[in-house]
Amino acid sequence: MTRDVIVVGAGPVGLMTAGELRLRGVDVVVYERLAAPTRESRGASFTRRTAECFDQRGLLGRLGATEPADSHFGGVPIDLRGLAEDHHGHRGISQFRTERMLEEWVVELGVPILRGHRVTGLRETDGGVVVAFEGPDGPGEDTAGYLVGCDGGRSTVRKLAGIDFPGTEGVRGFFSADVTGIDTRKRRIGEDLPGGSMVMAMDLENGVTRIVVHEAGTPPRDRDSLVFSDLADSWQRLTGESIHHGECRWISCFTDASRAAAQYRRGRVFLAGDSAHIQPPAMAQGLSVGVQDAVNLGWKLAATIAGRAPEGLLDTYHAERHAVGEQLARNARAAIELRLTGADMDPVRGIMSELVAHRDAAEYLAGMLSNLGIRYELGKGDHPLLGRRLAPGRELTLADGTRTRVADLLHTGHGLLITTGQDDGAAAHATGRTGLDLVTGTWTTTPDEPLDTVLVRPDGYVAWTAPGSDDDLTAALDRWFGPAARD
Amino acid sequence: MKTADVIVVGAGPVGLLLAGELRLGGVNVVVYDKLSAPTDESRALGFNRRAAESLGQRGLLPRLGEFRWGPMGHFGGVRFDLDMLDEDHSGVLGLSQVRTETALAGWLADLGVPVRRGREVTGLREEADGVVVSFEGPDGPGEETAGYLVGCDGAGSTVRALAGIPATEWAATRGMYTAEITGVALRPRPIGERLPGGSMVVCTPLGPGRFRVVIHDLSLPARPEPGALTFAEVADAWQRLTGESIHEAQPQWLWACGNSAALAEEFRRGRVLLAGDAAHEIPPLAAWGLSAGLQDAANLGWKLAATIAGRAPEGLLDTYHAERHAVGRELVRNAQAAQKIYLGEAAMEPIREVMGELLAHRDAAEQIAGIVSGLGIRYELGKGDHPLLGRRLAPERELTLADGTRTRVADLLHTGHGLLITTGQDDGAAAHATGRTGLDLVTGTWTTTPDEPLDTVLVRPDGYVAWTAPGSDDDLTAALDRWFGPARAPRTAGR
Repeated sequence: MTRDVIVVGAGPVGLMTAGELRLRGVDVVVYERLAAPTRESRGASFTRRTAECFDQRGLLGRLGATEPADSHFGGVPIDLRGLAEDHHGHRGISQFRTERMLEEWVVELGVPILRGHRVTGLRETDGGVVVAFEGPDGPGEDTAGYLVGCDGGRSTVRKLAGIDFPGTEGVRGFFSADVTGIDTRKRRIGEDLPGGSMVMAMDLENGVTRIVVHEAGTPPRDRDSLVFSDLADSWQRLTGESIHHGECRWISCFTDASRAAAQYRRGRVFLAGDSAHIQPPAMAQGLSVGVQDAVNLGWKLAATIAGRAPEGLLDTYHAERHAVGEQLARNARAAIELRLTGADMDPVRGIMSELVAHRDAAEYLAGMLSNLGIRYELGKGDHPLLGRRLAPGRELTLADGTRTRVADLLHTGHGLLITTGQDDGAAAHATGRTGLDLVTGTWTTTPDEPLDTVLVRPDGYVAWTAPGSDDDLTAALDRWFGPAARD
Repeated sequence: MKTADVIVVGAGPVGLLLAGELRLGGVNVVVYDKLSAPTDESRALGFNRRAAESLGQRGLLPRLGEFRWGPMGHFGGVRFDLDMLDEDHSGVLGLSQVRTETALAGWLADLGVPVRRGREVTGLREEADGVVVSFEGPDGPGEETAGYLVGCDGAGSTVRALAGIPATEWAATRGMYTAEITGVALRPRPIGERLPGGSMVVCTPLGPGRFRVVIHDLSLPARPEPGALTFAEVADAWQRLTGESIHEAQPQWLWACGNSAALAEEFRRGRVLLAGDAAHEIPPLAAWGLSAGLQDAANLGWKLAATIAGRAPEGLLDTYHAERHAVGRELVRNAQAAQKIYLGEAAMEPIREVMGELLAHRDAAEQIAGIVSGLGIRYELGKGDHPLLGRRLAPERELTLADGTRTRVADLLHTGHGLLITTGQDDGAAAHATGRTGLDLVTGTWTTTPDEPLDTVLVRPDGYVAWTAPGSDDDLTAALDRWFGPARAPRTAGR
């Protein structure tokens, strides 16, 4: 059987990728090594921009209640009040809930999820990729146009494709566990202890407490020999409290290694999420950046498969997201060093706190952590929104008087050409372009900078503005949506 | 019998400036130094902006001769752009400490302050109205009694130890070598070159064929034996790290030290005070220590002089500790942060990058520039909302006087008096100034209109703004009483 795309991995990134592809008509299937969904909670929050990505597809409401998450950088708090934008993340949501929500969505869209399918080989042919797998019924092969590896930090796809994964080795070992039946004092953003140890305890749902421990000097652990009593011993040494009586639902370990794949694309193989970048967990960066990888890749790959992608569109995935992945790894290393070096780092933390007491510096750092600060090179011009995401909460009043948010307009996964009637010519350019919706209205709240016309990519990023852009609109449309179809 | 109001121990830049400040305030002061002749060690190469302003306020900059202003635009090697800031934060670069000391010694000679060389303090004992200081001098042991004793005797201060003032201490974890050499040509590395394994080499050109080289390497002793360093050791280390040989060069000065730090817990105990490295010791770093020490002297001098003259308001002398200990604590913290950032190994690189990106933002850069230049200091001098309250009045700010002449704030401060500057918007202000000793009334208009209205401003002798109108919550009389003591009743004719 030949598919357009095989996505490997049914975690949040794989599911998001599959959903984005299916939304645009792609024949996509998800392979998952495990026979059943895990109950592991893993990431328990996500960043502002990732919440916006869900919102842009109408998925935020499916998640149910979340709580706002404060921001810090390596334990240096960032005061988010008074910043121009709201950078709060969403917390209190186990990864299981996020996965279940995404799975429901992709199943509704008609994406098959093949569980118990473990990829064992791949070979690229002229028109596709042949994927070998071990399935519930034994070994098999499947052919697809493209393969996307969303199969985590130890990605099989990355290894089979021979893509390098450069970065730093882990030197610190961490325990992580979800425990019930304990009543320990909560340390939601973690508590730094003398000498470079740290403990974290945060509430998840249904009486589950997420515990993270690092005891200074502890190297990375062997993942196959984890015992809860070791974690509980460590916890007791550091806090004086016993959690030995708790029931351990899930235990894992991680390190402070950070890496970014040298290529996010090699031929017909793509990497997204942890398979493309790993870093010590902090501030929900890994999951969040992975979901945004999916949102960046989905529409580009869909347009390519539909045969209407402009030359080079697919390569912008690596260009745009590799830089984000490297920054992610860099920030994670900085944060972990700031946090888990002993007392000799205190003066540096003091200086950092003073720097982020200044609004512009705080907004910059908060912007990296919320991912609202991302700016791609999407075209020349002097409009502050160029290359940045258009806030999905921004409201338009349409000709018929109804009000709509940018997020709602993006539910289809199409791009948007929004004109506010100041530029009648703009609308004419949009005709004959597939995957682009023309919207005419007025901004309900006058923007800080004039924004008569704006071209928004399906991922929510601003590719062209009037006033502001140096290029003309046709060039921008050609670049992102391909040439207009002739009548 | 008291033979001096104040004995200053240590004829380094801090002791010399302090003695001058005191003499300017009418104090009978004498300086002791244990060395029998001035040192020719170049040590700190210049000082920061605020230290330079402190000298400028006393008209001392011309005594330094030719020198160069230059950017101090990095923090632990993380650069920031000084050009985007409103104020000039550049400092004095490449000026040997010998020249600074020579200039200050010349000033003291003009003021008639005796400097007793070869005198080493060996004991002190506080009495009801003075301090008895024992010393070993060129003519044997002796004793002298003074009203106050100020230890400007450097790191590991004898005065601090004798006074029993405790210090918070940070032990050295690594060492560094410094050498001044002539007779070779080297590639300059003015803000340092980081090498694998946490090493760093610095090479600062000091003139034709003259360089200062600094070597930081984890293999160097953290607590080197003073005076035991040989040039061969320096040259060997340099070659090991850079591959370049400087063995043929002529060493002019050698220095080995560790990165220990210390902060005296009290800058004043009774009649004993501490200033400079005696009060706060930090690892050598772009003349930060000397710069802070000079500002200690500028802060202490007028307060101690007013106290000795009997016209100091209650508690004035204690503001020295309150103001400068806080600065000292920050100094230690900042020096340790800068050193960690500067010398930290590869694991620090991501932090350096993030910090560099934060410093691309103007306000963050201004924060760090203010630390390095000293212009960021704000003392708690009184409540109010004027941005200058507690900060220094820029000494180059110009006034046009009633007779049309133009004068800089720095020039008005040469006497060491405080200033009450009114711009005629507030006629009442002048009346308050009468009967206050050590305060000059100046009436004029700002040659350039200030960003924030500044009709009247009270400037302490050290150049810091203690009161403004508009801006201050307190009334002017309270501010004058607080800093200059109560007004004396006017003399009545015929008495």
